[in-house]
Amino acid sequence: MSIYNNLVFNTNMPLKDSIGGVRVMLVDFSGILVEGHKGLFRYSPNAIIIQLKNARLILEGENLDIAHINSDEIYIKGDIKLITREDK
Amino acid sequence: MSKVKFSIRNKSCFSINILIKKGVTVAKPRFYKDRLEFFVRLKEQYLCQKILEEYNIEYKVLSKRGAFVFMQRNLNRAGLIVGFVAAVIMLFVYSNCIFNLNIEGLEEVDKEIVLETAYEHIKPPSVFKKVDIKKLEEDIIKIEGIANAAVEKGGTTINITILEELPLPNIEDIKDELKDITSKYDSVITRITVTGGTPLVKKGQAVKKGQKLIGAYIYSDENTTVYTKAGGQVYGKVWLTKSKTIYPQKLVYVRTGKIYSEYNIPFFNWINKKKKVPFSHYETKTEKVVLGGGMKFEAEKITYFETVPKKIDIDVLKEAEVEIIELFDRLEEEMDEDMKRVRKWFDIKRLDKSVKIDIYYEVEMLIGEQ
Repeated sequence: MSIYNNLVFNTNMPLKDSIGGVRVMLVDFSGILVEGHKGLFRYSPNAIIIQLKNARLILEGENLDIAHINSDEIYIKGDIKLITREDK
Repeated sequence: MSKVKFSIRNKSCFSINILIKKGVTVAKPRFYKDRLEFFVRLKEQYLCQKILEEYNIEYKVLSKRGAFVFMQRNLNRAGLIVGFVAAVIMLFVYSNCIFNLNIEGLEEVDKEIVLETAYEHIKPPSVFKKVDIKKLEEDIIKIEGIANAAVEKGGTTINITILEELPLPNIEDIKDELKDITSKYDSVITRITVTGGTPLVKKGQAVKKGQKLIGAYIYSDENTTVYTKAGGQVYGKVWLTKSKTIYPQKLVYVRTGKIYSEYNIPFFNWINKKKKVPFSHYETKTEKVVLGGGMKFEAEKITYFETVPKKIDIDVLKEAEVEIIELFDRLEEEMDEDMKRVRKWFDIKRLDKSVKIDIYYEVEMLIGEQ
């Protein structure tokens, strides 16, 4: 974690003020926006694995579909049932 | 936004990762058994192609979508462009036309008056004429009988919704009606119905003519009296009566046998004008006769019979019987239809030189109403 983000957590500042790192936003379990990813590791309609800096984010669900992906963020739609982290 | 659809042989996530690392945004990637399909923005098409070629990834551009692509594709189709431009012009012209005036909400006010006012501002059909809707509204509201108006332009129609003034209410002056209901006869109350005010009598109570039956007030609480319109119907028993005195001697006129006749001849009436009948009491008989020998004409013959008064003795009781029937008949004729007949009787009093008959009719009738 960067020094700035560490400061944000320790001073109870709003989390949206954090800079860099990974940020995940889940909307109604029907859409998820992952910022600060390092690429797509694996894709299937039931599971998507996103590569992060030091870990992988595993999304499990049904009818998962990548709406768009670029170097900074990935937006996935579908019925999301499980979000887990897998350390390298 | 215009998009380009790519298809590549390599179906791993690697292709997507190298594209996004180089700054390409990939949308809707679909992984199939033998290929991967995805969309990129039109402006990133050549960058995407360059990256794929750089990494020796075999690719195909499947399709291009979007308004810009559509325009690029159809730029050389003059007919389509002319048609499109013509449609835009038509749409523009049409949206500036007024074809109809729709007026709603009129019942009392004449539609022609509203139309005349509206025509001062716009007379359909008109093209490219600006309508001052606020001014039109104000002018319509100025018309007598209109309380409010809303004018709005919907397509090629000007809709005028009118709210008319409410008719003036009929103000009822009840100042003179704050009168008590009083009895018209001496009576005994049988029924009382009150629709307004306070009843002052009860069933079975004897009342005099002019006595208050229903008061024109109510009590809102113990100490407050509120004046109101008295209303209701009061029925009571009323006794109608007639009387007559019969004497044992009766005066009759009898003929003496003396006769006097005169003729009323047409056009010669002036002859009889100065003539006087020579009797003080007489009976007359009129008949039509034909006069003349050769030339016949009709005349009226009046015969006067002299009479003198004469007293005759009569049977008082027999006469009383006749008189009682006659008095009841006369009373029946005088009674109204809505009077409920209860009973009737008579009374005969024998006096020194005469007999007095009193007849009575008990009826139930309306004695007070408002």
